[in-house]
Amino acid sequence: MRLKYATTLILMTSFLFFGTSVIYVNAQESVIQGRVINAEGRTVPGVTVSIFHPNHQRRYSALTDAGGQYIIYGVRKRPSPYFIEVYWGDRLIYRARIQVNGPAVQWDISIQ
Amino acid sequence: MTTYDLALIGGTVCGIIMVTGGIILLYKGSIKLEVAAKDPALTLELFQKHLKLTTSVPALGLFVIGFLFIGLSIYFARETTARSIELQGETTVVDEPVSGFVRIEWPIPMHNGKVHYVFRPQLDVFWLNISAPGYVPFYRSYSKNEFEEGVQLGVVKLERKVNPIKTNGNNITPLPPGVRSPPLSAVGFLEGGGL
Repeated sequence: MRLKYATTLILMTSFLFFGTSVIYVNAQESVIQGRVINAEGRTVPGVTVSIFHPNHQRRYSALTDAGGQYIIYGVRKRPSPYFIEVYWGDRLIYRARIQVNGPAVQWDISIQ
Repeated sequence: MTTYDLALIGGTVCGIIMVTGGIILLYKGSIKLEVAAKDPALTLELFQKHLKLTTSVPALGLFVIGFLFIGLSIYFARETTARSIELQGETTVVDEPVSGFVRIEWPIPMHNGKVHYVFRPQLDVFWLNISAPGYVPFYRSYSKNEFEEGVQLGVVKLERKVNPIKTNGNNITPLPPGVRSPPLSAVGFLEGGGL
């Protein structure tokens, strides 16, 4: 009888343990990528592309590579738009609204 | 949890069981801390016979082996401190602020788009990125045999690609009232462009 109770207890504990350890993974993050070009149509390396949400004082940033390309990973999708900025060193040269609600956002920046 | 972690936990548990069991056996009188014989009753040869432990109280052997298990488990489970690497060098004269960062990467094995990977950080390769606005960035990876004695960068040549961008404010969308742009240092995630 004791063995029966013990077995039942172990089985119930196991089910409870594995049931609660199921992780629900939701694709809540997005990738933003694009390139930065200047008024002459040349790609701009070494500038900081950064995005932030008005409700959150946290930035996601990337430096452009030799081809002016940038990739920002792990940006949380939100129903309201972010702001995307480009800094030349610490000088702001571009800002626009950007909607991040898909798995990947292509955003090319042309600075006139 | 890796096999290594399990082995450490197993070793600690074994050690604790041996010490606790030894105490219980002593309490019950099954073993005694008395001299068993004139000759050594227990001899332990450790570290390729460099260290030799002899005792004529055999019950002590339980405690010695038990504490050995616990001690070795703690020793191997200790947090390994990261070693320091010295970087030295300079860039060619540029008329823009120069920034740099180091990135450390490990390849992660993927199986049909799924990943389950437990790793112990070991520095084998790091990437160095030095850039300035308008200049072609400097990217280079350094492997373990290259940075063991420190990294001498020498003079890093940064080549200008485009002239500084001057804006008249047309490219800057104003922020709504009450919204402030967080400082650039408030970086949650910094990527190195096309790395």
